Amino acid sequence: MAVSTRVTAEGAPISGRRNFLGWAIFLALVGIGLWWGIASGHCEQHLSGWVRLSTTGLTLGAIYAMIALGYTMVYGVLQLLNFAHSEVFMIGTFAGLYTITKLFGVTGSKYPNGVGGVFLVAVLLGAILLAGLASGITAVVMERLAYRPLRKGGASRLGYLITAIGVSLFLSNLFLLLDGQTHLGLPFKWPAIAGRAPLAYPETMKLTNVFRIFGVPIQNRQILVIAVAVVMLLILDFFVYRTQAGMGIRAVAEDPETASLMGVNITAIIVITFFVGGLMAGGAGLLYGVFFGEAQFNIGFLPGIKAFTAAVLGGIGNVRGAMLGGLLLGLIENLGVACIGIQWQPVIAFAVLVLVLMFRPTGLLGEQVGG
Amino acid sequence: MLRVLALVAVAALVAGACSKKKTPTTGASSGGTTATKNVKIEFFGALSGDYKLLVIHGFQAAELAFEQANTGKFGKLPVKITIEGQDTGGSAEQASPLADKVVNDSSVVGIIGPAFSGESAGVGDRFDQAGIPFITPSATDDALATHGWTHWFRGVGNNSDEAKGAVPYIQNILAPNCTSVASDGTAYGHGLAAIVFNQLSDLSLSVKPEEQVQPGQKDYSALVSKVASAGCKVFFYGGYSPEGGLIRKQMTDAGLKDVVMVGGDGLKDDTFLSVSGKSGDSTIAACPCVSPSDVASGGAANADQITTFISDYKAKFGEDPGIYALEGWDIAQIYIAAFKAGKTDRAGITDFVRNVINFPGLAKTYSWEPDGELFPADRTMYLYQDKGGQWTFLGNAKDVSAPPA
Repeated sequence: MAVSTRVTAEGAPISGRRNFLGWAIFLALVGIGLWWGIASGHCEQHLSGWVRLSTTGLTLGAIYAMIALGYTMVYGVLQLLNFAHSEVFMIGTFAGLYTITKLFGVTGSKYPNGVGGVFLVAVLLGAILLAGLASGITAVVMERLAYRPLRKGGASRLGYLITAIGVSLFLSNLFLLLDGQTHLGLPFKWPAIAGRAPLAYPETMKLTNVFRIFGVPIQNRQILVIAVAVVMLLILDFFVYRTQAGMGIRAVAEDPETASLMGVNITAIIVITFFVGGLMAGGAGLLYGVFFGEAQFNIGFLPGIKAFTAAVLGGIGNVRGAMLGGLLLGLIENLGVACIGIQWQPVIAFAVLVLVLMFRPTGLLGEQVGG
Repeated sequence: MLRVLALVAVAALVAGACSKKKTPTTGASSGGTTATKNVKIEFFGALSGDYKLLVIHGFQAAELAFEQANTGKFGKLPVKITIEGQDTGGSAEQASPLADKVVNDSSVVGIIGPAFSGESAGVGDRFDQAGIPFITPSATDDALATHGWTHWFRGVGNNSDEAKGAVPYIQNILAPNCTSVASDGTAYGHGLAAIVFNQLSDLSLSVKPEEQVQPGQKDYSALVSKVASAGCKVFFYGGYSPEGGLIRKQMTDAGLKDVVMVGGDGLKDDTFLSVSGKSGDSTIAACPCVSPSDVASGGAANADQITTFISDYKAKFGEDPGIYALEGWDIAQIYIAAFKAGKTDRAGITDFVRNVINFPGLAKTYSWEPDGELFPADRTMYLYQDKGGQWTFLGNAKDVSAPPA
């Protein structure tokens, strides 16, 4: 089992008192800033505005958390920042789209008001499953073709990183070219799967307001995203902390050599890690597609960057940290714009990241898998 | 295996960067034996991708015009014209290498485009220094006229004109409690939003500071939350249709159905209609563009010519001419007129274009000021409204926005 002591980058335990003082100062500064902002009229004046920003923040944060798991788990076992994970997510949005429209035949013209009842549940479950599978298989193939040869050849970490960026560019450009036209001087047409323009999701679920908090409507789509995300995160948490395979993942993350001496099959554990990370990203891709209504070759870029940030925020390599980091990042970047223009949204997110890393270089929950 | 992957990846990148549509217009000149010079006109704009539908009709209309010109339909020409489409994707980065190639090709004697403002600002200097005339059918940022380019001409009204079309409509017809403003931060989008903001402020109407989103994003929930908190009944968006359509959809999804969205020509294409779906209903677009079928049915003096154009266009491309088709056709006709007048080099053609007075196009007449802007009389602004998933012609902005008596 992993040790959960919080340590600094140098390995010395942080004194609880200094830690507490740091947080108290930080929160006090934020509080004073907010008070001044609201009093002077710079910040959102209505409670409903804050609630609205919080609910959208949590919805997005849940999706970030699901993607962040893939980054953090792969980092845990391989110390690899898998930048191609955003493309694993992108493939999930397409797989979800084609499951809904082709497999279940749900199109905007056939079901102008969306579908309901048992059929809706079947469509959503099927789409989540197949999107997860498509992304999971993509991640496994990626590991087999791109990363395993590096591992066998003892490549440097820089080699891994550049390969990851290459795989990411390859996949997004491949989907850009899969537009049903001829490319690269080839005599045949490429399959029309993606292309440059976005493809629209049908309105699978008719949007309704379920209840209101301080006058802000909470919609079934938001509840769907959060509910599915929480269920998948709980299953994953159970998998990592309560199953043999999960224990294997944590063992490899902590000390690969000892784990292998103890009879843990490292290659198998790495494949499982990629698959599980891909599964979560695929599920997130489907939710993102249903929520925002589009799939596109570059759709993974921004959520990917943010999920990576979330993973670092929570402590890269730390599964629960990634979940916490995702939710926090979603909240922070949305609540942050209550006081300034939304063009500052990415700045806020990254400023918080830098601040956290200045005071807690290993992220909020530390770097160990299982911390 | 890895090497193969790497090679394919590199090849894919190269192919993506070099994608180009080349359409040598067929149909030998009727003269046959006389020595005709081969000249090229280049079209710069987003011919694929998200912004394609704002641009492609202008390109296709020009293609049609040159094809007919080569068959001798507009009289005997001393040249055989080829039009090449340079697919910029709407970005200055992609337009830049294409521009370098074009200026070095001596057979290129004229350019239609660049279609967007950002890319125009990015490559305009190179065209101007190379002495190639470049006439844009659709770039509306006011600042383009301030570069001192002597070979640049704008075939439509600018952002200030668009704002003058939109603002009176907001003031007199929508008469909201206040207006929220946002843009995509591009030369076009931010330019337009800033002018609208200033004009509304000058009229002492309540208007919220401009928010900016990133183009290419899918998630506009933060913007939607702010628009909801502001509580304004009108939302002005300066930007293009892929983002505008999503913002409109996400606003309606969040319960802001009653907030009327108003935008410029960047919204007025089929992408907006398909992306926003039913949510797009009631959206207003101020556009210097002329809708061919509406002008033809509205009893314009040249309705016959426009009707012929529409049927030729449909026969060739299998679709109705969309936004900026007439402008693309008209600019092609100006080049054809220059060729007919015996001007076949860059300098001669530029001179010809600069000196046309009231050139009779299908959309309007064309005469240019020294800075490359059209005469104010030629910069009519029209209003369109999304009604039931179609852009419906409301009419000349001045007439539509007149204060109720």
